[in-house]
Amino acid sequence: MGLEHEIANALGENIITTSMESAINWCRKNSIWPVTLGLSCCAIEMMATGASRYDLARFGSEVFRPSPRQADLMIVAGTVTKKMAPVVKRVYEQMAEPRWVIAMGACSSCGGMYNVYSVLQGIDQVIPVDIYVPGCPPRPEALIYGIMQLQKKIEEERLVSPQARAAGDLQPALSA
Amino acid sequence: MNPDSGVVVFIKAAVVLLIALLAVPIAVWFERRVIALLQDRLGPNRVGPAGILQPIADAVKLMFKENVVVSGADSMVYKLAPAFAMVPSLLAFTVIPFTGPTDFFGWLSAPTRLQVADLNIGLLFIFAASSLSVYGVCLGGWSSNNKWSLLGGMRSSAQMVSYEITLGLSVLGVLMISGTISLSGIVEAQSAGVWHWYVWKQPLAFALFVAAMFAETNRLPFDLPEAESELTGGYHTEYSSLRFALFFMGEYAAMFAMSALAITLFLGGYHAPALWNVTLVPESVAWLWQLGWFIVKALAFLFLFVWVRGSWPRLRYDQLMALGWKVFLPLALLNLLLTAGVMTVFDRPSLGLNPVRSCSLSPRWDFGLRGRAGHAPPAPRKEDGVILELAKGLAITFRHMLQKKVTVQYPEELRPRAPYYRGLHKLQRYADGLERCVGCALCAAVCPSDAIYLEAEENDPNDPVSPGERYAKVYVINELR
Ligand code: SF4
Ligand code: SF4
Repeated sequence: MGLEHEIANALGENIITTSMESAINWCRKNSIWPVTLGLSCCAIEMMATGASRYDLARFGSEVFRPSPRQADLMIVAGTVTKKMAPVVKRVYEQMAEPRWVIAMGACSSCGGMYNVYSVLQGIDQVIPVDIYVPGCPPRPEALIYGIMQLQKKIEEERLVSPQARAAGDLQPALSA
Repeated sequence: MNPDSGVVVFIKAAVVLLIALLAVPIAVWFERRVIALLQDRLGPNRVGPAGILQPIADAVKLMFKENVVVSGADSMVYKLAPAFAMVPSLLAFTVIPFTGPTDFFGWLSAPTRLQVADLNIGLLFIFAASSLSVYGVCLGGWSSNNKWSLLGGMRSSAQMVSYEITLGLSVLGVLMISGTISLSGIVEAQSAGVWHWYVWKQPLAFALFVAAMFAETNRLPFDLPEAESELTGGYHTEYSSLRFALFFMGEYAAMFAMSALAITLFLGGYHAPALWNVTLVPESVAWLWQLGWFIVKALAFLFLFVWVRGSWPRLRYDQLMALGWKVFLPLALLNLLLTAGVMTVFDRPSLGLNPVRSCSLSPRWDFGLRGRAGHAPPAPRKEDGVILELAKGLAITFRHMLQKKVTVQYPEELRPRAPYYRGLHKLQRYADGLERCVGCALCAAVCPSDAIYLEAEENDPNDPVSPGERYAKVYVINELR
């Protein structure tokens, strides 16, 4: 992906890369900026999550970026029709790495009650999903819980790729 | 050490750069906390104590994000534009005097100010530098090969050019009174205490300057270049990672540079209000005291920026242009005319632009006479209502800032469930123990996630499980579905 992965892959897994890893992961998990993407009724609950009562800002995530280039997280909030799916996919592709996706609500998780010809049966058919938040619509608490789960997931991420880690067993670290 | 030696200048430059760069994360944190308070929220409060580490997390995250260069972008210009946006704002800091003359605890042989370069044309330099920043915005918008960016960049150049005129004209009154365009000279002219600050002599100019300042820094209510609801991100739509961060920092640095200029010109610069200046602090640490006052005033301006952002809506583009050209510009000219007229009528005409004479030399006279120059003419009638409304908006948000916040801190604090809440995923029962379910399977049919499975069974009339004819023999809600 980025610079940090190149450094980490070159150095292999050692104290430098692991502490760098935890520092970067800590920063990433505390600054998840969602892209503004509301597709239907679930988006209202997403807005409620950002508003005063639940205040997503407490987690540093209130910075809803209008431009996907600056966003880290896509909350797919609402029914994804088959016409909308390519657009959602495109927005996802426009986001800069690293990026994560939350499928919010029954519709974007599995098509929900719209078991019809015009609705995509789950956003995971076009883009990878990290967290599914069930509900129709999920309450703001549920979305916040989903974001907290995502934070846990980000904490677990590794800078050194599996291939490099496997190679690191054979050659001494720092040799590259 | 000689205060003019290269080492001293270098150190001063480093300190000022540090001040300018440190100001940015603090401003980001301050803005996010205060805007939250204005909106009845809490704002970032989990990342470090009171969320103070939030800007650091943001900065590091942005640093390690993919740096997108869009295909079709004019690569060279695209990469340089953020620097063009950032550097001019930093340049403006070089001529701002942060403290009065001091020898820094006897380290220097002669007293000097914490000011990188005491240019005698300081004000002109600031205007020259800050008008360069429009290039960053405009080129960034043009080179990204994106319609919205282009529109944002165009808007921004039109807006900044229009409001720069107001900015420049409103300052002229101050120049006429003080008779100098060296910033340290202007500050010294206001040294005699709070009543000699130019804000009292040029209130209209001050108001115009502050308004134009908002436009110059692209802040609400004039943030049209990046109007999110119309232009996605405006000129920085296509920027990610560090380049976006540079634009962001440029905006905040510009906010500080402009506030510093307003403080220097109208609010007595580093001088403390009247009494506190002379009595409280010993000579040797006076410069720290002054630096402190400068920072306090800058924070007050930052609060104003945030407060206005939290209270007022954004202008439409034609309104913005009309306001700039039809209201602000004539008012600035009027102010200029009044100042000149008052100076000519009540004072010896030749002294108006005499650089030797500054108003602090004759405080008695200029407060009595030239002070009238600043009396604000009544605004046009139509505007009166608007101004009242704007003030009301500010009052409302301020009141809310002091109120108790409504935020429920979710993971620690759960909202009590209403007694009639039936959303729990389980089979409900009546008080006498009978199941509510009559096995109709409607819920399974309409469940959006197909998560309910049930098998119905006829009730035994002698030993009913439910009040109806049938009941659910198997009733499963698969919440993982
Ligand atoms: S899950 Fe329910 S609330 Fe959400 S978009 Fe679908 S129908 Fe609307
Ligand atoms: S099957 Fe039972 S629980 Fe489901 S809708 Fe019918 S009565 Fe209600």
